[in-house]
Amino acid sequence: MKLKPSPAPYIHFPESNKTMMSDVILVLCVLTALATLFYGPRVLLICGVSVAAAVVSDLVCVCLRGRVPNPLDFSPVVTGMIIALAMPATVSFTPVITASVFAIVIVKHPFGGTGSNIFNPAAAGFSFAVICWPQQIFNYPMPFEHISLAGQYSEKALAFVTTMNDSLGGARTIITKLYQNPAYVLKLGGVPTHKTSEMLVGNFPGAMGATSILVLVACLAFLVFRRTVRWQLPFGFLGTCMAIAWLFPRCSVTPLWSVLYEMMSGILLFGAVFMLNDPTTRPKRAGTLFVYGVFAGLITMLLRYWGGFEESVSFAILLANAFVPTFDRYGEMIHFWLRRKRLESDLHKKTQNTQPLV
Amino acid sequence: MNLIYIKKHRTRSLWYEGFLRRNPILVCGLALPFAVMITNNLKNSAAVSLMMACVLLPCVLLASLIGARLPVWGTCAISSVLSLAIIIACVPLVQMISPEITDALGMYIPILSVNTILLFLCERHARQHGKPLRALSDAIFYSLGFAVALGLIAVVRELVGNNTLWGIPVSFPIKLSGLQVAFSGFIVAAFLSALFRFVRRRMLLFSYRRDNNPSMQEVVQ
Repeated sequence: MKLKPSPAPYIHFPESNKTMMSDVILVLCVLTALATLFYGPRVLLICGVSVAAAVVSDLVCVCLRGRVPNPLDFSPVVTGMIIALAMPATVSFTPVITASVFAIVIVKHPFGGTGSNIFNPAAAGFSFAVICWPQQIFNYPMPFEHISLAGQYSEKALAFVTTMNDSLGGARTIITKLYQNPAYVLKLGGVPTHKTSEMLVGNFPGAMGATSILVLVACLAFLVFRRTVRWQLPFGFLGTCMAIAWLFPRCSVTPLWSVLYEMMSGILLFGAVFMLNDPTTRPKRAGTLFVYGVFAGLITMLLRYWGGFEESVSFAILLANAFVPTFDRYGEMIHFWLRRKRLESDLHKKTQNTQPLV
Repeated sequence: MNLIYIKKHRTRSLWYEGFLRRNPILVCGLALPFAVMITNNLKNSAAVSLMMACVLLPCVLLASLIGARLPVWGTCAISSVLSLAIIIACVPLVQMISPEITDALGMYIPILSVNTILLFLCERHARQHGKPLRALSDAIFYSLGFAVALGLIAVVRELVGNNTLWGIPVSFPIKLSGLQVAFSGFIVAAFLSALFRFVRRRMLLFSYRRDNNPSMQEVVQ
């Protein structure tokens, strides 16, 4: 037999950072394609700008820290895409770039970079953009409406495009009418007027990647099947949100409709699939994952009911991230205690079954 | 290894260590609530810095003079009560900055009486009985260090977060209103602290090279 001498490790887990990030990017690409269908080519531009900002800032930070850049580390691409898809198609480039740079420079690298960050960079970047530009983030265009490449809010670019069009004798740039998401209606205590079928396919004003509920559910199923996402976490999170929506409806509808509206409004499902399941910032054990999901769901709904913004998933995830070390510590303690008890009971059974030697 | 310059510098800098080497906020991490909560504009920072100086000078001096005669638990208690009395007297002084400043600062004025810089310095000088000059120097430079740190954080947060300085509008290319949120105070303070540490390490490295490089020593002499 010929032995091949090589250093440890000899057993490799099939999943790696590269495979997991590739799965998430694949799914995000599907959402981007769908958003492009709904809102036009501006979606691609926003995604490109966001990813470029994240990748460049990651590269700069890695070089500043004196490390060698890893071309197979796709995490900044994922961060950039998540941030872009959580925003409306009319958003100007400033919030997108700022959110991506904030996510990488402030939230990711000061804590040690890929695999060491405490808080989810995408959630933090999006939250920062929400605090700085709530008007831009929470006003959405209707799908299939014309959106100029300059965007709704980039006034300088809009003025430039208008001037250019005028000078060329072309038509003036159409200003897209903006609407509120059903989450805003629910926040005010009203009942959303959108049909459920339209909400399921994404034909209502919302964030670029967060409106296609059916596709998001399919994405979640794919990621669970690929083991990139562990089912305990979204199950605990969404289950808690559903339970609270069922028990305490915010508007005067039946509990079932309350659950449906809560699930389909805002970026709840998008956050549950992409932000909450960051392998770096989630707990390690299955039981702890479920408890963490329940905790995050509870905070999300509390912030939705009494928070300042209509959308609070990203804030809830950041708050839950802060408790992950505590969950891990107590999870380990309980795991060891249960294991010891099981071993003791096994030993006890063995001693009872053993016949004494005569 | 020749470290004469570093040793000499260390000995000299004991008198003014509170300003840079042991800056209360950026190095020691003392009185962080003030660095985070009230630094959203420069006026608040100036008012709190002024009050801090007014409180530190008499309290630390007094602790140095009579601290050794008091019981161990008495120094902190007496300095807190004394500082509260001084704060009440100083309120009209800071209202000269802005009439609404006391309303803007709210509870952060009374809690100055139990701030960690005051307790740390009083406790330290109560033990080192008979060094009132050193106590006075510490009080002055720790107050200055506190003011500088607060001022730097406030300038960044007010300029970038609100595009104003001392309430006056300033043209700045980007406005990140998120910096006005208290949470951003932590981020700005942390980044300034990191920058401060980086500069200190560079200075130390320069001193070390100067000590051990003959050509540079000739230049210095």
